[in-house]
Amino acid sequence: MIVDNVSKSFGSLVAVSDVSFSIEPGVTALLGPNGAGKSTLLRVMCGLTPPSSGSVTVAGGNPRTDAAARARIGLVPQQDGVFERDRLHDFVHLAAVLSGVTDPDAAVAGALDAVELDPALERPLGAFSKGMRQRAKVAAALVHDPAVILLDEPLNGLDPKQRRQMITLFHRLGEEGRTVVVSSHVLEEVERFGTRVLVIAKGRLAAQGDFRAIRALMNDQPLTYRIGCSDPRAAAATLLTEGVIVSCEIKGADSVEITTTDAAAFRRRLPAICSAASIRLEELSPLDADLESVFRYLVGP
Amino acid sequence: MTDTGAAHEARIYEQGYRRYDGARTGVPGAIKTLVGHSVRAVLGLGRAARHKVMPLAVIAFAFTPAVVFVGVAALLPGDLEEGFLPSYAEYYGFVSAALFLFTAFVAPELLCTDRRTGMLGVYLASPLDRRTYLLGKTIAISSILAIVTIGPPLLLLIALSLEDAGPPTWSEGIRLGLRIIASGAMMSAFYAAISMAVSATTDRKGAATATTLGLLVGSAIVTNGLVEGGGLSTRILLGDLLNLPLQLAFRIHGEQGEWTGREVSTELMWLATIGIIALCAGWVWDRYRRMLVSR
Repeated sequence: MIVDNVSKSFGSLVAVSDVSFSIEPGVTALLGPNGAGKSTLLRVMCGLTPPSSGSVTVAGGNPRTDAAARARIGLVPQQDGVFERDRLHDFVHLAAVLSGVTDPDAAVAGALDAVELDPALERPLGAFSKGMRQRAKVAAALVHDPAVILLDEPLNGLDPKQRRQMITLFHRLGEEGRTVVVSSHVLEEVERFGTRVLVIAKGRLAAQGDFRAIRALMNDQPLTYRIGCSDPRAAAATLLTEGVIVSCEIKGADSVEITTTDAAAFRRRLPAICSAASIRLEELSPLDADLESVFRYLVGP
Repeated sequence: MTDTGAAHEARIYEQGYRRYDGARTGVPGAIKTLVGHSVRAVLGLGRAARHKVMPLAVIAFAFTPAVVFVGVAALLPGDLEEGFLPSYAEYYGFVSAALFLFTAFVAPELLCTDRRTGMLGVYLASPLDRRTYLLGKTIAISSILAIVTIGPPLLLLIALSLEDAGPPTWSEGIRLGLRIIASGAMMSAFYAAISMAVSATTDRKGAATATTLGLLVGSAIVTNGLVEGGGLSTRILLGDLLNLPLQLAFRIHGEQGEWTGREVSTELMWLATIGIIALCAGWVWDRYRRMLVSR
């Protein structure tokens, strides 16, 4: 999937501004605060709404105008758009028929198996839990065996167990070779999808790629590490003298937190410095290299 | 941002200032935007429903007689219809209340609000200066007033023509259309000038609205009182801000109107109308020229 210079405006409101990226098979998280333009971008990506400028290419075609390209996409919308009185099988079967699947019954069975839902469930969808409804929506999106699956805030409203199940499902879909794009602002869960992220802020692409590599590119944001060692005061003093850290804070008898602007040089020289000063090094942990820190640095608090 | 590198390559994009590469429309574009936003603001477009109630009610009030007359013309036989339908100049009598309400409401909304909220300073930080700002506001106010001064009689003309109850020939129809546009434009310009002059004098919308209505009604009472009760020259009626444009509309349509026989010639009426518009424009410009605007 290639998104090239895509912008989308609604009157004077620019929802998506000049966004370009490409997505490969596997799971990619589309991150951004509420109102950043994630849902609009997903709608443009699957051809539901035309971009004001720019282009989207899926499997060599434009999903807005090319039915074959559109057939390669499955969308799980944010809205709880299920027919409340339908049974699970009927709901997914309808999606299969509407997608022009040649053997709808087999496709329904395959999709429900993928999301681990029992096709014999007789309850109407309205009586399903939120998690089960999300799975039903994913099954409806999967029923025509799309290569690209776009999920808009699929974790909203799910309890921790349901979130774990959904994340496991995303991983499995990605491992099957599908391109899975999951939009979310639940960062602690997104971190478990994998490491590839697209960060949208105020309608613009703020960063893309492995979030740890993105963090490493932030030269203007000093990295914070916790060092566990036998003599934190001596370690801090030596590191400051050597000029590999810019600040430090003693956190007890066996721990010190430091900040450095050159993480690579710091990691390279720390063992030698500790060894020369006869300090036993026990722990080295980055404190602000997680996805939440990266996100905070990119889009602000 | 044209890079479409593979997703595995981490990248951070500059989120700060971006150079604008689109078309630069300059002062004409700024005036056009100002007019558009002003019209939208007054009509309540893009705002909550409560902001739409008043303008839409006034517009509906102005158009309702036209719709009724068209309906009546379709139902009544030709001879009855002629006696029932008003002339195009007389039509303004049916919509004068809507016209005065719009006059009192539109300019205060557009001028006083900008000064009270500091938006005037923001506008003047754009390609607009005081002259072009006022030009834009004048176009907006006149255009909104034209909705009720030109819209309903034009609708009446078109609808009656489609029902074969309009002017007998195309040329007469076009001539009548031009008269409707001319009289409507004259009234829009006149009432816009009056309400802008009042709105340039106070920052308070309510005070401007009340003063505009008071000026219109008060001038009518005073001038008519002086003529009728005091026996003074009928030329004093030229100071009747409420009725001068309405009576001039009769003359534009080739009718005498209510000032028949009062020795107020059409030329004098034009002179008074243009004079009052010029006086108001001068007052507005003088107020804005001296106004201290912080940016």
